[in-house]
Amino acid sequence: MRQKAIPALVLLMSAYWFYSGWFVYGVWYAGGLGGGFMPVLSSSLAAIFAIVLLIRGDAAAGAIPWSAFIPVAMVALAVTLSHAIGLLPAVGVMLFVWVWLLERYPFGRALVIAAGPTLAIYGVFRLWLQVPFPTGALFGG
Amino acid sequence: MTEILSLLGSGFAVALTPTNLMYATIGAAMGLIVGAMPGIGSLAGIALLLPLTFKLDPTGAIIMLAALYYANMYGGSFSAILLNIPGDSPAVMTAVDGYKLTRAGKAGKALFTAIVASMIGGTIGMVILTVMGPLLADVGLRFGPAEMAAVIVLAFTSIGWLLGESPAKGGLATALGLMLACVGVDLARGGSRFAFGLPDLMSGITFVPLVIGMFGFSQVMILMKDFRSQGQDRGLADVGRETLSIRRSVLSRQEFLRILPTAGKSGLLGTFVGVLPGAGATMAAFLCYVLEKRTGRDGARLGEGVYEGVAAPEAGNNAAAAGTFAPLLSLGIPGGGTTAVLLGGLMMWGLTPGPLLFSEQPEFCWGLIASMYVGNIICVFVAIAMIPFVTNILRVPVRIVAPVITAVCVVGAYSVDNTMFDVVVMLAAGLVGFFLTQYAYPTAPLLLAFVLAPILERSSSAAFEISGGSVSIFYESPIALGFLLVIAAICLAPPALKAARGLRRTKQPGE
Repeated sequence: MRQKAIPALVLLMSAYWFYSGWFVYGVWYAGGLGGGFMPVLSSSLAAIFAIVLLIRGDAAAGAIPWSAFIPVAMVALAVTLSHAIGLLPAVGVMLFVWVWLLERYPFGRALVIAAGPTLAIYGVFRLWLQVPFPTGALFGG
Repeated sequence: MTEILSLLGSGFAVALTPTNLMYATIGAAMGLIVGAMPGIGSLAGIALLLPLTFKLDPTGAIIMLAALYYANMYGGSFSAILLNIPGDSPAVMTAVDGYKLTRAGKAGKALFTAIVASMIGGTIGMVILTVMGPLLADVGLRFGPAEMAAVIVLAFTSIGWLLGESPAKGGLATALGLMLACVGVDLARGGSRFAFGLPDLMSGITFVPLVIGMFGFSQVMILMKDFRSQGQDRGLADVGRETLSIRRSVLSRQEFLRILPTAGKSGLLGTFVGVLPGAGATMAAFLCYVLEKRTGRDGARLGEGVYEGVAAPEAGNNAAAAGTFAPLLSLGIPGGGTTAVLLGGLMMWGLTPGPLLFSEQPEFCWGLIASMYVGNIICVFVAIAMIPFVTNILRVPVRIVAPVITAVCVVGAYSVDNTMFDVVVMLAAGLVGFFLTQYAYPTAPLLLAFVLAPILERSSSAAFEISGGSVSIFYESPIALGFLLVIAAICLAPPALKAARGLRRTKQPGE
């Protein structure tokens, strides 16, 4: 069943895209294309391919270990922390937590590994390219 | 011809002054660095560096910015080949074969291929720009909305079954890319579509966070899935000490002869695509890849990690970077977003691009063209010198590389529009890219469809506006009709050939 999840989701999505394109945005508008033309065209194509794949089936992917989702959890942590302490410190904390707790580097080495890229990012993005990073609620951002 | 050579000679006299040479070198070095950084790209890079040139003379400023622009194409390939993160959209196709070469322990050779092909493509583009600039711009002007829409549909017919084993999966990925491109501003009428009440979605999904997520972040997830079980201190690729030297990265005579025809024809096609208004380097890279896939001696193996798969898009996007200057200088029409910023720069200094620019400001025009030749050579040396340093990245254990790439993905996605929403987009795109990859769906067609869809919508909408809603505009134009016939041939030829073969087989036993 799991191998049919992608075409099934795309089929559902295409149904919504088609409905919105046809009935909400309109395909044709006073002698020209309406905003619904591309949604209807793309969703029709998606639906055809999704149905073909649903009928034909697909080879199942192997089991996905939990470790594949570590980066997702870490980015979620950084995004959440950025609201409180700002983006750059949040990225630093993310790096440290990942390297120290998950990759089991010694505390001091993990600190150095986390600090290096954080400082490099600060130098390139903040000082050179002048990207205004959010500072977070704790620092008055 | 003699006059052109004489004018080019005077251009070299301007470009080779120590000051302008320094500007070109600074631009090339910055372009390489900026290009290798995911999330910045040539458009943002030029926009960021524009204020630095305020105090320079117009010739020096444009020379520096132009060097930044085409060096960016070199830089984009570095992160695409080494980390599967295209620095900018023109490097998307380079990542397909480039990263596979890296995983096979051929990172140095892949980078060298990219540099050599970029140099060949760029030089072809510049020679054509020098000799036929105004003429090419005239041909490009014949491409109206109908012709542009037809050429993009032609491109779409090749996307799906280009990169995957299953045409249906490639088709689904392409259609998904088209659907995602519908989010945001309705290019036909100007309203907002599929924003779901989120202000950040009103202007659509930003390409760079999508590409960082789809290629870069999903790759981190795959690394975490594959490498953690294979050894904690393993690097990204099996890179021996010898592989890191420039000498070991240099292509053999045989390898060079393999990529030479690929780079040559991609250079020619890329220049032409660069001249087309609105097409740009991304489309050039993609079309050159398609051309190589269809006509190359080893075309069937493209996508598996072959040098031609790196050479074709790299030669194409560098040639396009040069070609795009033809309509900019001779007609004042920018070929893409980056040249639009350059156009703004020219006008800021009181220069009005157009046919009169060549006659009224020859020193500036030919100085710029000559500096592109010089800058191209500078780029080659700077890029080759960087190979031993950048390939060292591959030796770092995955358990350090994965967190660092994730940090770069987060900051790169944020820095495009300075919004945390783009980080969320990057995260979602990464998850989608990961699951698509796990089920053997190709992700490159999705991204290319996402890039080309707005041009298709804009062009077809404008074509219908011009014709008053009649489809006749597509077959009354000989160029558009030609493209439509090629599309029909591409779609009908495989089933027709299959049917003919089947007919022949059924006849044989009875004969």
